[in-house]
Amino acid sequence: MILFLTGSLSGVSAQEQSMKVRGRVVDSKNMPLVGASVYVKDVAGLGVTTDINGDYMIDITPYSTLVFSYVGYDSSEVLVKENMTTVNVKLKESAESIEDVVVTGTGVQKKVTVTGAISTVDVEDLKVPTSSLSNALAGVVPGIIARQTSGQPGQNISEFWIRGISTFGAGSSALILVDGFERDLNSLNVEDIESFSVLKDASATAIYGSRGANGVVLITTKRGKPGKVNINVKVESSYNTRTYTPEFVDGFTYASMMNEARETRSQQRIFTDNELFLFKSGLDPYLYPNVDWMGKLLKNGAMSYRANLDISGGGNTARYFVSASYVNDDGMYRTDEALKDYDTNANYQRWNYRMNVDIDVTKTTLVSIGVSGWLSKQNEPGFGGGDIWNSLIGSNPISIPMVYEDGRMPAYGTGNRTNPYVLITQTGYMENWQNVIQTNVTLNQKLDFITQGLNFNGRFGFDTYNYNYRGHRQWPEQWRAERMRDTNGEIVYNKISDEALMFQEASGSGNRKEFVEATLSYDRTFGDHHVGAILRYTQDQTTNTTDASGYNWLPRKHQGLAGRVTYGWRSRYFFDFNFGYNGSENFAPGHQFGFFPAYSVAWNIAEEPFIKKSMSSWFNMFKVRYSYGKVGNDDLGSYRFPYLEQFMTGTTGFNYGDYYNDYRVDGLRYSTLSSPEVTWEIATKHDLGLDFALWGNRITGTVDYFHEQRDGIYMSRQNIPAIIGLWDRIPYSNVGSVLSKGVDGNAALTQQLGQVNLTVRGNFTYSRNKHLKGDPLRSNYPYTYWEGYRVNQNRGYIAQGLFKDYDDIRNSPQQSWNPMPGDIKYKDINADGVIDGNDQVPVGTTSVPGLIYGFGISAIWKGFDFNVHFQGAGKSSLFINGSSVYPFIDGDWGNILSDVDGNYWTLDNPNPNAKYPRLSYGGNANNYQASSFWLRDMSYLRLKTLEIGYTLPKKITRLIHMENVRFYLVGQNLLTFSDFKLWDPEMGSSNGQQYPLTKSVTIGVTIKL
Amino acid sequence: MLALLCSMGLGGCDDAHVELDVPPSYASDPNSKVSFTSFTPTEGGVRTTMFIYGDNFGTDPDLIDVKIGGQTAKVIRANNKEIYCIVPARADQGYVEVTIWDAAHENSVSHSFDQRFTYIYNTVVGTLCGVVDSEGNAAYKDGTFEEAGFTQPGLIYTDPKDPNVLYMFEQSASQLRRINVANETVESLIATASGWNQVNSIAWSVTADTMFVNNNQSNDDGPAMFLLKREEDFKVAHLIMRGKDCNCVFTDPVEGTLFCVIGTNAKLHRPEWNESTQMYDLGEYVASIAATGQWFQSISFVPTGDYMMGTSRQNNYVFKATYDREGKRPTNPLPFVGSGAGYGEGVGLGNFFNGPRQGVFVYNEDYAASGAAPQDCYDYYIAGSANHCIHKVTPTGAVSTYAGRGSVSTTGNVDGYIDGDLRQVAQFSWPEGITYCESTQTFYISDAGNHRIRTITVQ
Repeated sequence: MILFLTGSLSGVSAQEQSMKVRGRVVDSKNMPLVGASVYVKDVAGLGVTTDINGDYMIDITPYSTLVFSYVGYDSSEVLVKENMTTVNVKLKESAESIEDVVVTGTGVQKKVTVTGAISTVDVEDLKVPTSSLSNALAGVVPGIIARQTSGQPGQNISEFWIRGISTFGAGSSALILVDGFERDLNSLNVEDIESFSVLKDASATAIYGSRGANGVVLITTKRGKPGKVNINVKVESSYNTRTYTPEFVDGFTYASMMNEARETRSQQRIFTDNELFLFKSGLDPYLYPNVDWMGKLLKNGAMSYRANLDISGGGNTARYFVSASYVNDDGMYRTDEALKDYDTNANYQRWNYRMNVDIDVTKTTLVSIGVSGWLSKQNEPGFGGGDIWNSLIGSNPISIPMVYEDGRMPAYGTGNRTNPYVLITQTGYMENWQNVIQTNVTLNQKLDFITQGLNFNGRFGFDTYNYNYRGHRQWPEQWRAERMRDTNGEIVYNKISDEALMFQEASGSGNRKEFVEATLSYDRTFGDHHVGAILRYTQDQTTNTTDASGYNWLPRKHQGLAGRVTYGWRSRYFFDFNFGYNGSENFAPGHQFGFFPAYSVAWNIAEEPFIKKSMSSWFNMFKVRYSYGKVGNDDLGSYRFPYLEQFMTGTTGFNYGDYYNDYRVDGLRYSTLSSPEVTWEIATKHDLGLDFALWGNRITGTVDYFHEQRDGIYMSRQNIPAIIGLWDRIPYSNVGSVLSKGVDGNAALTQQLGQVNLTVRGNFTYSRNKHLKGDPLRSNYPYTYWEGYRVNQNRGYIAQGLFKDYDDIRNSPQQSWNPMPGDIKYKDINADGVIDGNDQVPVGTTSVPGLIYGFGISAIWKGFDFNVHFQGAGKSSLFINGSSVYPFIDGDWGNILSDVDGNYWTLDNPNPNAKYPRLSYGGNANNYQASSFWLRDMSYLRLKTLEIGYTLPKKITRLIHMENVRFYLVGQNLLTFSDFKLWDPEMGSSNGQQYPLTKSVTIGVTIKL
Repeated sequence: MLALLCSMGLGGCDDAHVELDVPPSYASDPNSKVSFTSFTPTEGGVRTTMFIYGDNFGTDPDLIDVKIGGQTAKVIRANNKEIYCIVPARADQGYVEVTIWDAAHENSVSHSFDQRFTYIYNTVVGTLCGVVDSEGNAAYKDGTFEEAGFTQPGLIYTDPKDPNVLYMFEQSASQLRRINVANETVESLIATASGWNQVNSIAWSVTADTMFVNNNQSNDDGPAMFLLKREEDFKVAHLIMRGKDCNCVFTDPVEGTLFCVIGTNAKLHRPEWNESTQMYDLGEYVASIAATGQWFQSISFVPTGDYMMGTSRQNNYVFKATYDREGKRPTNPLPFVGSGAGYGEGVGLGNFFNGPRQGVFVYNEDYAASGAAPQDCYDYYIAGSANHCIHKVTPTGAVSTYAGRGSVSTTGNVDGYIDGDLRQVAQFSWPEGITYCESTQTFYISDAGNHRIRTITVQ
């Protein structure tokens, strides 16, 4: 189809009298430029490209202007007169190469002039085969700590923080701006992205005022460039499997362990030896089943498909970029063959579209219009989602078979404790779909006629989000067999659930956002001095369109004024001053506005004359920068207007007349106390950074040390004496304080080894935070306070192995839960002879990793390119719990991981260092609580990406009228190295009850016309 | 290349559907030898699971016949190398015979094991009758044991003159039904329940030719007691007394004196025959059984006539009162065992019962052997309804669980329908009635929750 299109396009220009022009395109050193574009100016068509010798041939009408262009070089235009059949051109390299430009909050800046901590990401690094862009960030962008928590289609996104978590009161997530408007990152089409920057320190984010306190992600989308029509097509298909599939014990082992768990605690065993034999032999699969639920109900792998098409081009008066893409992620659930009318498998489909148009109304006025959005459909089983995975982990192999002999549906219990087969295939389906439309209009007016370098930019954006749910669900009749067959050998059935016939339901919700922004900027160079200034006003409003409950009906609004002054001397010394003046709806009049300044300086040592003279060959850029600033945060999460009190009728009242309850009046009491003084949470940030480029830009890198103290964190006050009379209402104030500091950086080395172009790169982010101040209840033990410890630090007992025998129990500090030999022994931290709450101390680190790093190698040899990328996380630990590792804590609900089998303390093999303690049935207060016994190190290193690509040689692609064709094969998450082997350590899950992350192999092709 | 991708996806098609593991069903292979190795266990009682080992049995239970000790055993499953079957009742002839048929059920291979099977007789819980469909529902139906259904069987009594006959109340319809164990039939006795509101207990005259039945209703003028005669085949109900709240009726086995209890105030009355009205008069009460009004559904005399015992259905205890034969009244009725609702075993006034229903006296020769007085030789068995078991009360007031609440499972359910060993396996569901037949030494239990009549006997 594409061949047909090019054929027809090139046929258009052949209508009038045509001539053939040929020639050669070379660079300033007379080397041929292969693959340079040659096309006719302002005429529709794809043009031609030069071959391996730099030669081209094109049919044009006489007196057309031919344009010669090549990436990284200045374009050249030649008016071709009738007699010019040979046109040779020499192209000059561009003064500015693309990597040296950084997109900041105030526009595009040369990297060498930037004084703040900004990470620019090569968009190619983000093009990993996944449906959500957030999954591509960890280990690729220095300064971002990220983790993916679920692999379920439609929910397989990552949560991320810029430079770690620096607060516990308000929201800690970063501000994401797409084309200057706050929009969602996860559903963005990565092929639409032109640039991706992360603004990390105060000076870079100050211009965003209050919402930049947690860092800002700046994304700009592609715009058309004047020239020929560019068409890009990408098609890829992935085969997804799971990184870890939990392994459980089989039916016979489970039944034996159950008997043992009861007998070891002097309870009656459940199964007789005959019954254990029936489990082992499988002779009676309906009353003594042995079902591998995951093996039967989950597919080995599922397919994903992605396709993208974009067309861009334009001329001098208007330029356009249009794109459309499609994503289809299939889920892992098997379906019932007999059900053909609908699909119960989890599935996610999304269609993205975007159109950016730039119109030069006059030479100095630019109007840009953008329309983008997506439509997504997520399909799930009828009562599905989170319940299904819980059910697969919780159903043991022996309670019920998948289906009874006569076709009845078995059920263990009701609700989500029924049969996983029923939940996955027999409950109908649910469909969640989203319809998002984002529009924006921008006017950019150069005001050089007032004074040179002055510019006005005004934008308006309007976004609508619609979420809809449609369900077509049912609930089959379910039964459970009596424990024994009757005397005739038949199974006796008891009904567990009644049937609910197929019913329909639907609901919807949504919101709309309106933004307005106006910016006045000034940018001018006076000799060696470069001066700039910006003044910006923003306001936005988000209105919920369906929820009228409580405060949700009121729109959320923001308003702010921000500005920046920059000064640079030559390219050596730079100075910036930024400020933000913001108002928040959450604070009382008089406390609403805050002024937040930031200063930054930078010194490019490599530009100093003494260095330039002697070391300029290898010392290309060595810029030291420092920034200091204050930023405010007002995102209090679900609390709105905390300066307003709320009342409710109380549980007590008065009965006038003391005669029954006829004259009772309920009392009025506070449901929410007001905090009239509540105000901004303020972050004071310091950043010291170094940007360097050495040996002819062969080695480049950045290192930053950051120090951030956040004060005035809005939190509940625990230390209030009872005599104040607040009863159970706890007041909140700005009293908390957190200090967060760390290092982030990246480095890259490029080297040409013979014919191979090699790049080695790495990045890391390390952040450590700690509470400085809180307001806790008084305690005698300093280690029970939060102060001085990490935010969300794990806390528990310190375990000292298992008790050896009863003498050991008698001679150890008293544990109130009646331990037996084989139970966990805890350390008495305060030496008071009793193990209680005062012996709980900080253990390990936090669940969110404190260190994320990545490194990789890419190599290009002839037409082949090869890329391998590792990503790892460290400083992450958490307590494992749940029925998979605490055997039988919930009776017979909960399947047991095979790691437990053979590794627990038994009377026959009393090992005080066993991995799991003595078994118990139905929970054990002594063993099953947070302690270092259950702490696991969740650091990991993954082979995140392994990519091999091949670009077809130009000779062949020219024959089919294409500029570039590349085939590639990508493997993702192929290997994971970690001490923790029970489930995927990245998920941050303590009980493993989450849809595992995907491991995939993708093949695809990109075609550029 | 796209086609290659599609086929990759198609290759996973089998991967896309759930495979239901239906065990394959095939007959023994006629071309291979069928071998028989051994069986286990070599001794056991009724309902013991037995495994027979060998080769080439096929997997279709319909093509495998097993006879244990002369009785046909039910084959549950087979997997070509093992046969899983259940030992039937009275399988005491000693040998195990297996017959494997071919697919057409024409030719067979038989084998009789040399190893003897020793059948052990045990007292176990079994099922007498009561048809329940596959959904767990039962309908009120008369007929043979193949058809008869009970919806809510209540108190049950043996016929003193015929050990094969039982009388029980169908509570859902307020009907009196007769079960004939020998003929295996069930019939309803009263054609139309004329004025029968809630009937629950039977009292026999001394000759057992007359049956008294109480009727519980709230009208002072309404019917309180009916009389049925053996010569009328107990099919005609004669109204003989009026009054309200007549909970229960019982007679002194020695002299036949009639007693009844009015529940509203827990008063015991001794109705007097009134020649002029040809009916009984309720008269004044002769004793106060308890302090507050409550429902006494089942009271009976010990067969020697020395004392009476009865269950308090609402207040979860059993009272005992000595009988003053001169005054024809009980003296000093007091709680004997039980106090609050609960389940347990122990002595005296503990929380043992939960809604105790019918109680029955059973002669225990061990007491006589150790020299106890004749009236102290009887155990009192109670149908435990909400405790799903049969309680046993000794003459000294020790309460224990005689049967039920077996088959310990992970769900913790103690009620259900399971036959087998009295304590280890058997389960009841809301047993309401219990009676004992001396001559066959069999208990019959109305298992209301399971809609069946259960038995406890030696099998």
